[in-house]
Amino acid sequence: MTDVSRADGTIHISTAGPGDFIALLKPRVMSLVVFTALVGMVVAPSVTHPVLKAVALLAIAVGAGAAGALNMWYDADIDRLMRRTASRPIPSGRVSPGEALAFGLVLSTGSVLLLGLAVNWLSAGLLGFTILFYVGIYTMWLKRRTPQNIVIGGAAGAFPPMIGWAAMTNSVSLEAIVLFLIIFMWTPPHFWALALLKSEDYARAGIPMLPVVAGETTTRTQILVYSVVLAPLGVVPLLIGLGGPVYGAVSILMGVAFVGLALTVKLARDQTALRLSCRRLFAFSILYLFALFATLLGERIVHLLIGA
Amino acid sequence: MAEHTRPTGDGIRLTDLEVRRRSQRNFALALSLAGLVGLFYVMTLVKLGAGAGIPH
Repeated sequence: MTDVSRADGTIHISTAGPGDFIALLKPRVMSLVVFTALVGMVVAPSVTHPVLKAVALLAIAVGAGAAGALNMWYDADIDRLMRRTASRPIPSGRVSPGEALAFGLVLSTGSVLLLGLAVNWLSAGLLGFTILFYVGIYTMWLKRRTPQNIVIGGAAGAFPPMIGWAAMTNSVSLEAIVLFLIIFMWTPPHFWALALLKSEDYARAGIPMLPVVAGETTTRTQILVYSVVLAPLGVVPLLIGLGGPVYGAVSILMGVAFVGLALTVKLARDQTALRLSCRRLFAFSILYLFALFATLLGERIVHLLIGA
Repeated sequence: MAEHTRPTGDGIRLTDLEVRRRSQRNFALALSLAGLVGLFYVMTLVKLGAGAGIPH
């Protein structure tokens, strides 16, 4: 699959190394997926064997990576146009589109089968749906057509804790839905803060991100609206017994800070202040999600240790 | 641009980089396959172990 004779009588010989294929998996995105899926697995009531838990997590990670590879395959044309993505393996020529497509398809199929064989077919189905959603609905359909692309497409990033929960319980319950909703509502302000910083890049590539289509003012308002919805939603795990008092305190404090930073984005008077506030909100949003899920994880581990 | 094109025909000699990268890819693929074999072996043991406690 790497050395291909071309119609024009030349031959393409790949110089892609293993690192390029790992880059296709979007390791940074994958790490967030692994982390949130892990939390979904750990907080779920389960007697699954630890080895099978590890295999399930591996399958979810590979599935997320495969979706990333397929996304890079389809988006190679626009990745070439944006500074942030121009050095990715396909636009830089290190990996051919065909290689990336085959790589993504094989890993997608393999990860779904692995998850089904290791734990259950509900979670495998959810993983397969998530990959299809990310590649088919978000990448191929919404991303280039509507400024609501990341609102709806964000669901793909929100599924991992639900998959993790389903892998352990063979069910999808309220707790899993709440974890899903937190990431779902977190995604727009997170990405729009970045989009405000990179709007020229998106405009050059013709991607209708909200700042490009609706302008800065609307985007800043939308960021604030989503943040105001997200902050109380972040506290819901406390109310349904998924999180304890530490989680309650963390989620309230972080939620207030999130809204505060969204407010600075909304009220920024000039471009310098706006860029600074967007950068701060973007960085904080990552910390916010990490803190909430890490606290859930920590509380559960403490509970297990005390209970043991 | 790391991609190379050249006329086809007999006697194409791969550059050192192309040979090295191909070896690396082959090694990574072999490692992945070996890992999968191990993974399915361990999974089977665990699953059989879980079933062993079920009375007939």
